[in-house]
Amino acid sequence: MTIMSSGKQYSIVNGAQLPSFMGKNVSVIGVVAKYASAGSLSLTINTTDNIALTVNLNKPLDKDLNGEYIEVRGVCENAREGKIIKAEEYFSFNNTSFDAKSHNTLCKFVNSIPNGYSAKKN
Amino acid sequence: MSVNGGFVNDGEGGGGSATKKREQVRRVQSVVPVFISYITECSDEEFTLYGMPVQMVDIIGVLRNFDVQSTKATCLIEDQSGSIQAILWLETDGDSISALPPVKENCYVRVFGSIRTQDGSKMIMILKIIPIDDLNVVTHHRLQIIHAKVYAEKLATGGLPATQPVNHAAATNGTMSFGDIKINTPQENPHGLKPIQAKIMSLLKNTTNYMGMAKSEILAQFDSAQAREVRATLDFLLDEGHAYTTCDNDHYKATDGF
Repeated sequence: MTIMSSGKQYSIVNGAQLPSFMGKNVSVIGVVAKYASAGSLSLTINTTDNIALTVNLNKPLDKDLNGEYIEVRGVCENAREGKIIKAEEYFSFNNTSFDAKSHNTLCKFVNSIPNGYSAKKN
Repeated sequence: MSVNGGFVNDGEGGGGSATKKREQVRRVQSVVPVFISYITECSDEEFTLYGMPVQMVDIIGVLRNFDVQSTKATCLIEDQSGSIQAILWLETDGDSISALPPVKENCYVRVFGSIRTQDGSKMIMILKIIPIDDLNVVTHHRLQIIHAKVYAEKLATGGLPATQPVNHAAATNGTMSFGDIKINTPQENPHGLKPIQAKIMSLLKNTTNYMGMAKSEILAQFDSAQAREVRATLDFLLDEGHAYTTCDNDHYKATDGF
């Protein structure tokens, strides 16, 4: 029995895997699909497997975002209009290109091997 | 426990056994990529990954609470699996303190460090900390973690890593292959060569010509579109000592014993 002393766990997932992570902490990588100006509280991203997600932020954007690759950490929610991430935090990267295929492979592996985030003997 | 005292400690009474044990373990200082949760969930004094002792780790996470003091900087490194306290000793050179690493709070960093246990909890002694602004590095690191975990697990259970890797079909598409033996050379075949290298080597080995094979002959065995790759591979094989040039720089022979 391990209680995480600090820090939450977020599952690394892509768009297609989100439905099985409803209500859970997730980490999603995507590219900002629509121009979002500083101050806005919502983003649209396209995930590495090309699924559009709405990201609701808990604080206004501190800079304009458009076309950047970002990692969003938050809770996966389902609302009427589709998939939504209630973001706690996001990290933007300077990538001009990103190997989305490898990231999808990673998502597949990390969620298919037993206990991906744990190295304990079963 | 009674007769053995002084230097000849039988291990029950102190650090003797630990030291002895540590000496038996070869000083393997491999750097293992891990999720932070692997470290924090380990309750043993020494961090092991499925029985494999790990002294140095490679973690990528977000830098939090970066606090610089006179001789050290402390921080919390947080990846999506958990967080761990880390400490960076600042080298003082006379009066001036060495420059702080160019890292920013709440941004991704990569940390290479050794694991220490203090008051029962694990922490990282930072040897190197660098900022990360390329997401590909993060993905690559995470794939390496999964590879290292599955590899160590296979080793521990006695399964040969090369036999039946997990998700082998899915692993064949690129950056990382789970079936490989060497972590750092993921795309090699069991002989340590990529397919094109292996093919050229077999050509060179099977030639009956005393002078080896001319570059033009080798190129003729491949599609013309591959010519550039073949030339690069020949250079590689020369550099690595798998092949050598004979009468001139355009004739190649395989090194014996390969």
